[in-house]
Amino acid sequence: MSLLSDAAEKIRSINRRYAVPRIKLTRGTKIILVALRLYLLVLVGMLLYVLIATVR
Amino acid sequence: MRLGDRLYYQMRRFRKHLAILGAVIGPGVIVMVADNDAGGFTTYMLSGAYYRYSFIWIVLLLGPVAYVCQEMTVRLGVMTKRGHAQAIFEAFGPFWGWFSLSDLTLTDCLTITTEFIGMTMAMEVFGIPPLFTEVVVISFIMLMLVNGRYWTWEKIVLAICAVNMIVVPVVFFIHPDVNDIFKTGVVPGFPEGLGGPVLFLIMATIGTTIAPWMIFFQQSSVVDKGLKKRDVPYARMDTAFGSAFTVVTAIALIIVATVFFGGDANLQSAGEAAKLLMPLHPYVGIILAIGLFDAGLIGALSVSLASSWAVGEVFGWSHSLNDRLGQAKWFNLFRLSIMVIAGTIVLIPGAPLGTITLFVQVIAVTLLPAALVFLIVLLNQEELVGAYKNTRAQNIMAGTVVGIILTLSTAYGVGTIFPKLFGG
Repeated sequence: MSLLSDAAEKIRSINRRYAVPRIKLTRGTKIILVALRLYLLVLVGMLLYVLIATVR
Repeated sequence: MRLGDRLYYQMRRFRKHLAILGAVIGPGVIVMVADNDAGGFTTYMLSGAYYRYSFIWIVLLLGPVAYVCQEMTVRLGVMTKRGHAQAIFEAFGPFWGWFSLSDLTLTDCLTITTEFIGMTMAMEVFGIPPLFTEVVVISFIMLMLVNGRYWTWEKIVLAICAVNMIVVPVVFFIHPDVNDIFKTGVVPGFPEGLGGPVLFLIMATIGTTIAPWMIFFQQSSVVDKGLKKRDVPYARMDTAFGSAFTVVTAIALIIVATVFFGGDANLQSAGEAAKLLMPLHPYVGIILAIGLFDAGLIGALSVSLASSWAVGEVFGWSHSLNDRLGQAKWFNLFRLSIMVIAGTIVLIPGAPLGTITLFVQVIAVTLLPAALVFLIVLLNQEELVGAYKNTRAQNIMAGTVVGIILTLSTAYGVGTIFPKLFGG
């Protein structure tokens, strides 16, 4: 239990440490990051679709 | 100055550059040779067996492409003194950081499984049982770190890299048709069009040449080695040499496969090729088995390090190869764990090893575009990389490469999920 809570605390501290991006996010960079999120969403969606279709 | 004096000073300068290059050489050669891992061996053997010399021009093109991607990691590592995972966390925040780290770890664990599949198959040619192979390999990889010196580790790995080229001399003894190589191999063209398994194999070739773990590995390696700004030109040469070695070995594998299996669409793997060659051409079979084992070993060595370095950086563990085993216990424990998990999967009777091999590519596809885009964005931040910022020409070149890889690797991932889409 202590090991798990230690790990959770470690992850929280990493999240805090890197909470603010340290580069200037230009408009172009922000658009690229949104496009990447959408790309991943579509890819993961396809994977889930295949998984569900296989299970059925 | 007299001609003799000028020649003397030129010679001294050349020797000095050679000495520095000798010291810097390592990360680039290792990452590029590890590119020809067990999966790479199988991909090149299958392309030769199915489509003869037709894939040689693709491999020739992919060498410079891999160089363009990997050279950027050198500049980023030298200037930020950060591994790629930490650089992503710092620059883009926890969402992209955790995504990259978890995807990399999962991909690496599955890739190491494919390395163990290759190594155990290669050793079965000599009658060595898989469990024995795995125990010896994992023990060897961990014992390399007992000394606690990056330099010692690197020199051992470079020696293992040299064995990766064992297949190259075979080409000179099997008398391939040189005219045919130039006519059907060097001149670009697609055998039987782009339908069916051709596109699949092209994408597999690209997937094996440019992989996400390579970006993370070389950047962390450059940092751990302590390369400085003045070493960048030599590190570029190191990467270029590595790229050339990879291309030469890949072409040799295609030629060997064409000569012995050309037109045989039933071959399934490099391990099977070695087994089939044993009764007919025992020396070629033995060399192929040694090459495959060596490829799997370099792959397991490098891929396990890529994710261990990345996790170590982010969690703040000691993660240098200059630390002794006990000093960097979490880093080494993590590395040992992913190798043991991968090794155990291979030993499970009836484990879906074919599905795992395909799944590796799909997961890698999700990480590769992100890793490459982050690389370009980071190399355009003047406050991070200063004078080593990408020039406009470098951005155009890298952007084109990323665009092509993104399109093809996505098509590969989609093709793996929906095989009928490309007529497979």
